[in-house]
Amino acid sequence: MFKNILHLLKYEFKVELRQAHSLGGLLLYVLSTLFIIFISFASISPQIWVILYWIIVLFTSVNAALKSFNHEMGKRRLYYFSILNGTELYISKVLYNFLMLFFLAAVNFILFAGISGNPIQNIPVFTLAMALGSLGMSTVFTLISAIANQSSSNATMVTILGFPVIIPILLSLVHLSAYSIQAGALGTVGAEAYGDIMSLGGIILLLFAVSIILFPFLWKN
Amino acid sequence: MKIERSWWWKITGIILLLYGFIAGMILPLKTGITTASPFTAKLGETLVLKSSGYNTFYTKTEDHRAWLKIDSFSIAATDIKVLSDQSMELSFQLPAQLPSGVEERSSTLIIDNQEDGTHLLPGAVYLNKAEGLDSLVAASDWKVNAITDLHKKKGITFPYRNTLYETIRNTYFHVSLWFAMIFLFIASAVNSSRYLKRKDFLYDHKANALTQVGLLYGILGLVTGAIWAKNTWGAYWSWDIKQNMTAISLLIYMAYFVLRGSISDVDKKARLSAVYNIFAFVALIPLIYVIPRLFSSLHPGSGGNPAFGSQDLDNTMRMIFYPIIIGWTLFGFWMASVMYRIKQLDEKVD
Repeated sequence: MFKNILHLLKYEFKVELRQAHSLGGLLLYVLSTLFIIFISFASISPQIWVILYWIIVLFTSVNAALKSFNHEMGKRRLYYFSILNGTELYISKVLYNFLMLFFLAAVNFILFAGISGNPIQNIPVFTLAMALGSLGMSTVFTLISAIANQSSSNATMVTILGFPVIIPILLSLVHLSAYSIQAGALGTVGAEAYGDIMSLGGIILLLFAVSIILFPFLWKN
Repeated sequence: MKIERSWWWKITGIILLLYGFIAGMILPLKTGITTASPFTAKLGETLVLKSSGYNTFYTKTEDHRAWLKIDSFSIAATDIKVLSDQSMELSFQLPAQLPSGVEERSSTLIIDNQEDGTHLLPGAVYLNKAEGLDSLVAASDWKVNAITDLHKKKGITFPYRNTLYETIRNTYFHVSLWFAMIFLFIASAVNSSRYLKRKDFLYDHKANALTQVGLLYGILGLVTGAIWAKNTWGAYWSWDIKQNMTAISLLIYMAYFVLRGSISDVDKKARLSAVYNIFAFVALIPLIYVIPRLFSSLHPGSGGNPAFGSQDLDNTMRMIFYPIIIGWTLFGFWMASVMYRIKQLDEKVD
């Protein structure tokens, strides 16, 4: 099982690197969004900064997740179906999306901080929020894009189905990130944010567990 | 005999609903004091307090007694003038000092008679310090635990709460509709998982019908909540976290119907919507139970506001609240069963 997941992950990265235009497209998307924000806002308060940051990451993740199952259509889908089970494919997709989203979130952070100043005082807490955020978004949007992929209107469906579901995670992320604005030792801030981290982790774990159970039903038809 | 076709639970549901509606609307509230003026008084002076009662019949009886109470200390009213059924003029001879060892300055007004029972207004009068009179009158004017032989209002009544007043009856509609909605969504998710297991379209139709009724209940719950909010919080919609989260949870279930509408293939439609239904139900749990705890809210049950405490839901209310939850739930299941049987007949005709 782990071998298969690792294989799939490696394969995904190979495909991604060969089709550099899609990753480049996402980076360009982040950059142009940041540019619009930079032009429209004269100055951004730390609270607004955090909210804007997560909205950009959210839209980036929707775009990234949209193409999760683009390769697995038609004949390749049949081939995969004969050699893999759904759980392996889902886990590999979530891991791949997680790594890519984390990368995009980090790039987004660097660019956003570079353009409009960095209000984040506590980088470790924010990094943890980024990691949990990308994990949660990849968990939700991988399953949602698997559903949407089989319906007729893919792109609209992902937003309609995914946005209400992602809101709990998004709100927790904004709440958690608020701790990283204030200065302070990692230990004290971490202790305050402990409840948030736990509830966010709980939500993600819950959604991940139910997705693992549900994905095989989407996979075979 | 299939359970959907049997009649006993439908009758039970209707009877419970009727009982809830009638008893919930007809039973009177307990007596209470809406206002007392003036709000402040100076210690050592005579205070003439005008109080307005709620649901009271002051003219029916003469044995009125009234107290101002701080901690366990109290002073009795020296003169009580009944102006009308709902208003009274009370005279208090205020001592020059607060009872020894008491820091609290806002006093509770308590009125008692045999017709209306005991009713009170917390924080009715704020007692200001007297000037230069500190040593004149001994603090012993305050009596300890002097309020005895209190009456109880006869008959079955609902609790009286300031700011809530008659809207406390909305508990039977707003809250119980939400309980019933959760039960319907649970049943819907169970039917969806049954569909995934057995691939029988019967379960898909059931899940669909249950979600439709659940969504209807959710909308009704939101509307009754908004009306309640208008009367207690001052606005139909105040972007409270609970209001937002419930609106979002309804969006999730609306997305379910959009998904169903977008797929023409019957098998695919059933499979995808079953998966989404289960996923949506799981996503609903953090939305309703976790996130509102992170943010401050006006809603009972968060930010120090009481929820289902003994204060807000007494035994009389429970006698109506629990039956009406069961009533709404059974009624919802009935509606859903009618809807999915129509659907089945439709398919047979086709």
